[in-house]
Amino acid sequence: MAAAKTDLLQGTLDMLVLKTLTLGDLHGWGISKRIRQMSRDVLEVNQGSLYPALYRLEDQGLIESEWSVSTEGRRAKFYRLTRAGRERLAEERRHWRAFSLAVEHILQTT
Amino acid sequence: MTWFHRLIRRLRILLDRERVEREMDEEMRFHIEMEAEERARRGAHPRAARRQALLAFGGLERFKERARDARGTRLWEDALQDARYALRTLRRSPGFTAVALVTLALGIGITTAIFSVVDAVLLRPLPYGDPDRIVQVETRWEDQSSGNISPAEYIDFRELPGFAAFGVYGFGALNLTGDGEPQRVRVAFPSAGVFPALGVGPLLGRVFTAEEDHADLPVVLLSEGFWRQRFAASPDVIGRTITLNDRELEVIGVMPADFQLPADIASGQRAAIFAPLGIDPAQVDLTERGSHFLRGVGRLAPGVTPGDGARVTEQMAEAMVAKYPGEYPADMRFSATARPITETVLGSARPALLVLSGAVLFVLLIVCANLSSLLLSRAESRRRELAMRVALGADRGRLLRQLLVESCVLALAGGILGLGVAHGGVELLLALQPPNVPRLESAGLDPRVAGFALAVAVLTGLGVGLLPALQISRAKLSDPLKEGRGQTRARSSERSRRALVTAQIALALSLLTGAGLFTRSFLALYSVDPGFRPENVLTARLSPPSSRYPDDESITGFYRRLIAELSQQPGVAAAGAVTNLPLATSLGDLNFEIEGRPVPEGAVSPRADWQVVTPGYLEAMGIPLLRGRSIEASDGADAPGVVVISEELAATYWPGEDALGRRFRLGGGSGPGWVTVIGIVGNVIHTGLDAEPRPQLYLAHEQFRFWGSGDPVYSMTLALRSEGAPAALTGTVRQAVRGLDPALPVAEVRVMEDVVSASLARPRLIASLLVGFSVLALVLAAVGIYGVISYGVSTRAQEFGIRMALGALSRDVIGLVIRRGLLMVLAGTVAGLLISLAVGRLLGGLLFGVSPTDPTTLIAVSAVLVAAGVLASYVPASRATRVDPMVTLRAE
Repeated sequence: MAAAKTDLLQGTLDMLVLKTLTLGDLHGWGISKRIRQMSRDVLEVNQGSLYPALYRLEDQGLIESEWSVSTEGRRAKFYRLTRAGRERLAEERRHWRAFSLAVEHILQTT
Repeated sequence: MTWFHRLIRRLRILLDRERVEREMDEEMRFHIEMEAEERARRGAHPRAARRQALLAFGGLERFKERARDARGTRLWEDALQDARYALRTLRRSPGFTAVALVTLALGIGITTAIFSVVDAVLLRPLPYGDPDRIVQVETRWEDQSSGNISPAEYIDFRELPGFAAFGVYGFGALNLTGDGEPQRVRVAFPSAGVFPALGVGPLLGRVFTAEEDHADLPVVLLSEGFWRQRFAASPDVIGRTITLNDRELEVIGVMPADFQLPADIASGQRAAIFAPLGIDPAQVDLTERGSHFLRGVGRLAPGVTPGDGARVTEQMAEAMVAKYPGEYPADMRFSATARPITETVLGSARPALLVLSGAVLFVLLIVCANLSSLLLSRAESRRRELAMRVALGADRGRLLRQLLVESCVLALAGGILGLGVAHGGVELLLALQPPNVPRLESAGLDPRVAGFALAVAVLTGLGVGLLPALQISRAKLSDPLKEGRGQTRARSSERSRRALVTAQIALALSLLTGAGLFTRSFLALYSVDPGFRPENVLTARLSPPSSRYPDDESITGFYRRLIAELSQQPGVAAAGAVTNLPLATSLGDLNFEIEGRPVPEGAVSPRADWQVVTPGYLEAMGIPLLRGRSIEASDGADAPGVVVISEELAATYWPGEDALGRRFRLGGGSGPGWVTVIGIVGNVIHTGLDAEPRPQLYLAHEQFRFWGSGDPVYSMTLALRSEGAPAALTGTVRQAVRGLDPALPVAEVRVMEDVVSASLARPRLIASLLVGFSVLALVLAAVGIYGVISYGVSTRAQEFGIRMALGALSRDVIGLVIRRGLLMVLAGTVAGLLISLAVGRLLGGLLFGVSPTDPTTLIAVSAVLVAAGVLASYVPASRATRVDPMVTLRAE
């Protein structure tokens, strides 16, 4: 199964994390689950990359965290998008569109 | 988020590391539990689900490590960890640590002690408002610089353009009577303009108005110290009175504790009381330009530079000369200028402090070189440990950092110990009480000085750690693991160490040269013959007030009776009094006109430093009478005027002639009139042992009257030559004075040898500090040589073993080793001599009787260093010969 999953491109994880948080505050596990769901089980977030990414984003001030109670009634650390994070996401998205468009152009050239 | 928020957040993580770690654990555990539950929901067995979840998560610890990296505080967490590790390794080698700490504590401590003095004396702003805007206005004539200004000049200087305020002040000592013992206090006489010029206001009450100043109204300001001492800091002191020289004065204000007039700061004195100058501009005779006794101080108007201030002052002096040519003859070369107050007040202390600062910098550099080579040896012996760490995955940068953190930890610990050394050093310096060092008393350890010490410690730590750290991280670290024992030859590290030792020798030699030069200079001063015999002389100052001694006979009679009384006391060989005590005061000069030699227009009249003495003074002070007779009791007010002149004066104005019996007229005709030379005495060096003798003349107290006022001299210093210990006569003096005038204070009771010694305190202090520093430098350099040579011997033990097995004598081996040491010493000596010659040129002005390139000193210190070098190499060399060849060969 793992082989079928596509590895995330370097740098895109940050964007995806920011994106999942636009739908509401989430804890780490929730983020990884949501990425999996939203990619229809194509993308699997490696936990070893997820947490460093979260801490890095927090250090950069793009997200902030707070301890709260999850829907299952358990204490968990929830991440929330900051304004700077929202701006960053918009920017990353523009970059990504331009990038994927360019790649698509190359692939279509025969 | 700004960088600031990020910094705060990182700091919080650092300070609350445990909580952050705990939260990370909890977060990851939560993740795994949720994953396990998810898998269980999908039908897995709970235990299997948990195992799968763990597996899916991957290497937990590795991820934690990566997560820690992402927090952005990695560097600091590592540094703290390195520091803890450094403390552990340092504790493991107590010998090395102790040597390093002692060396560092001494180096940093001495540097800090001298810095605290430099800071207190030179760097701190003067206690005035905006001190950069204040200038001292001073006159110059002939070769005398920074001269005082006269009342007439004061009136003219008040009109200086570009000055926002201008004032003058003088000093005196007055008798304070009233409650308690009569006391002699230092009184300053500022004009009202001094306060705005200095930008200082009172702590309590108010300062003088111009009217009070001009009319000399009976008002005074107290210094904070005097107010505290005499009035117990009572706030209702305003309006009370004190009695100075029998005059009642009303207290109108108290000055702040740190207030001192500029000249008092420069000389390290403190006026207790400030009384109005009392010069009324309307009453000053502007054509009478003499009598320079005031110091001028001005505040520049906004936008006026000190250079502008100097220029307008010079122009005004030129205008004065043009207006009063008779008062300023061309030969006098009169001029005036304005110099920034910081320069005039602190300038005299600067050269000596710069020498000491330079010396401690050398000591600190030697300490650094020493420590650096210690760390090199240590790193050398730790190559295996470091190689092991590299093999286990530490990267080179991390290793470099760890070594630097280690040397910084060491240096910081040394710095903290150094603060103790600095404290002791400053206390010692203060206890020695070197005179005439402005503001020295405020030196001490404060946050500023402590900050300096820590900064020096960190810089030292980085500086000494860098070389070994680079050396090690550049070397192929895997090598030691492959090599056998004894094969490692860290050639480059040994080269570095030899270079460090050579540098230490060069620095130590320069310091020794400095110490040698200043010691010789001090000895030269010490052996100067002052022209009198200071041993067995007791001195004391008396100032009978004119209010109780209204006429001439009352005051001359007082001294006549007192000296007659004292001369008869047991243990007194001779007694007399003089206006100005040699080596403790300055002397004014007086012009005179020699009979039959009128002074041509525009030429400078003959002049000489003058003293007024009672009979017995020349004998009591031991000033040798060369020809003629001394001043005697018969030279009374009605007797013909007499004068005793110094050899220098006779040689200047009567070269090759007999001066005895010649006559001259003092003070340009307004002085005591015609006097006849009745005796010639030896020259006395008055202003300082490094001064040239100047022409001097001695007038009889009973005959002398100040021109103008016509008053005799009231304040005199007694001099008693004792038969036994001079200090034992103190009671005799006090009793005799009390017998004649119980209300008269006896001040400044001192043994003349102490006066001479005090005048040498500064050169003695500089010389002894330099000797102390250079001995330390020599010991450190010797330890450095010893260290390098013994390390070299230990690595070549095998070679020496073979040599001796093949028949080399121990003499040959010793020679071999010493030759290596000697090479370093000679290289260092040559470099040191070059440094000494370069630095020596800067010292010229501070030395007396010895040239900065004095060959004796240079040869002597070179010899001392070479001897120290040979000794330091001999010890390990002789150890090399005791090596048993079989042992070293088998060790392989």
